[in-house]
Amino acid sequence: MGLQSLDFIIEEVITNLRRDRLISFATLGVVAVAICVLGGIILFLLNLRLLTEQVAKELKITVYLKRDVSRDRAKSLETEVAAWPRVSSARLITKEEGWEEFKKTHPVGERLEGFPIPWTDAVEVRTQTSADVPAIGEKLAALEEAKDLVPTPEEIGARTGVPQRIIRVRHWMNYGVLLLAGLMALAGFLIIHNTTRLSLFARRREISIMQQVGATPGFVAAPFLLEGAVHGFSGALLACCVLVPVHMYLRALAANSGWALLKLLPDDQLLPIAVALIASGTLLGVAGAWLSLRRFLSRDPEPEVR
Amino acid sequence: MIELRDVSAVYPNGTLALGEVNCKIEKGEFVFLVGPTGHGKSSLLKLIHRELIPSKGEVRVAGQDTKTLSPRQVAFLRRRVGMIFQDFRLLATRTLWENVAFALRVTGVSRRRIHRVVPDLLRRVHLSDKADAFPDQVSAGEQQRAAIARALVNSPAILLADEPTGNLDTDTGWGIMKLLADINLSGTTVICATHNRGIVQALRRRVITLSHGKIALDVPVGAIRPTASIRI
Repeated sequence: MGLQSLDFIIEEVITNLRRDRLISFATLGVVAVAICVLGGIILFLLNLRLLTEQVAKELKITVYLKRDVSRDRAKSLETEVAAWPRVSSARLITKEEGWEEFKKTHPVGERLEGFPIPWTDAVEVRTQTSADVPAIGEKLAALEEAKDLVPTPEEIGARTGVPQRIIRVRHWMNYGVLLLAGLMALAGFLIIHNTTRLSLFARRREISIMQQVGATPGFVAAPFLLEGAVHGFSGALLACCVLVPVHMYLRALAANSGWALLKLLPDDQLLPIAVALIASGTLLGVAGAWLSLRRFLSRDPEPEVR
Repeated sequence: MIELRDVSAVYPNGTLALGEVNCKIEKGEFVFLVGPTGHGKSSLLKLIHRELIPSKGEVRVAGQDTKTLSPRQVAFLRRRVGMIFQDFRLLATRTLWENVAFALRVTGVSRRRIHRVVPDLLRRVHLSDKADAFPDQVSAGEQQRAAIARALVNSPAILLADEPTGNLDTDTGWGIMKLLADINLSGTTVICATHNRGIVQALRRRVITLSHGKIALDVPVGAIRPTASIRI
């Protein structure tokens, strides 16, 4: 397709958008709402995942070893536990390190100078997800060398309950979101499909003349496809112009809330999401227009005669 | 140039459009298609223009079997086969100049070439002074002349005319037929479906008479004697 053709196609698109201003704005609006809802849900889910990850990161199990466990055995235990499936890290905290840490953080720490170390060596274990904590906790408690577990197996259940519940809700929501995303995409697709149909109907005489004088099917279709793409792109762009600033505002609000765990996605991660939403909107527009065109153009001329 | 071999075409409702039609039209011929309404004149033109596909037989235009053409090839075929209609089919929102230029623009022709070709064509159909007028601002005859100019933009080898004088008064109709005869003289094959016996008799060209979708008569050029009352 040469520059002349491109020139004609762009001119046709501009003319049509101007001529059917009201329909174009309605289409753009519906696409924008659909993409806005879709993007909003995606952002909510991503933030929820971030939150559960942060909560999970805070979860660690410290297994205190019996007094008779040698330092060598403690070191080998650290290596063994680190190699367990679903364990992300295991770190040996010697009784000296543990005692120093306790004195630093405890209000009466200074007064404990000179006391014999009441501590034992310990291994601090982190799991890959919060869902793994109870199982790993049980496994650690069952170790022959284990004296105490912090938190205790009973506490583990309580502490992992919240993230577990969030994860369960997230899993359930994933399906709901998929369904909603599908419905939103369908709404955008149908409105663009319908707009193209209206446009095709309004211009059927022009199209018929184009076909009569030898315009190729691609040439006839191109302005409509581009129009669909413009609707999809503009709608999605409009949606992103709402979503991104709103998210940035909420992020700032969360940062000032004083809740350390309430961290929203950083602003630089919004760009790829916005690009993906705009690309999806554009594709949706082209697909909706294509469906109308396929049905419209296939009517000429074959079905007239069998 | 155009060959129909055992061509039958049936409409979806079962109506026979054409039945086992055989004919050959050579390059540069001027052929009239005559016959009552609904007896296959327009269907034959549509078959040549590849708006219809035969249900049986073969339509060959410039050596190509129209049935086997891809949609893209159909588009290129139509650039070589111009068509005009009884109702002109001009775009009401465009001037005559733009209507003619439209046919060039949709085939990807450069603006420079359009500005060269369109004035020439409008001059050829005597519409230079009406170039900026909209279709509803000119007479029916002028609209048909603009439609002819549009059909000629790609210098087609074949020009199909479906009742070109059907909506025109007698004098204007003669003017259009004279124009078609001139176009034929420049080497373009012209096939004209008409009810106007007077014009057919006056021009004394080959006449194919269609009756109930079949060729009832195929009278060669010059065989029809002009009647005394007819002038051109």
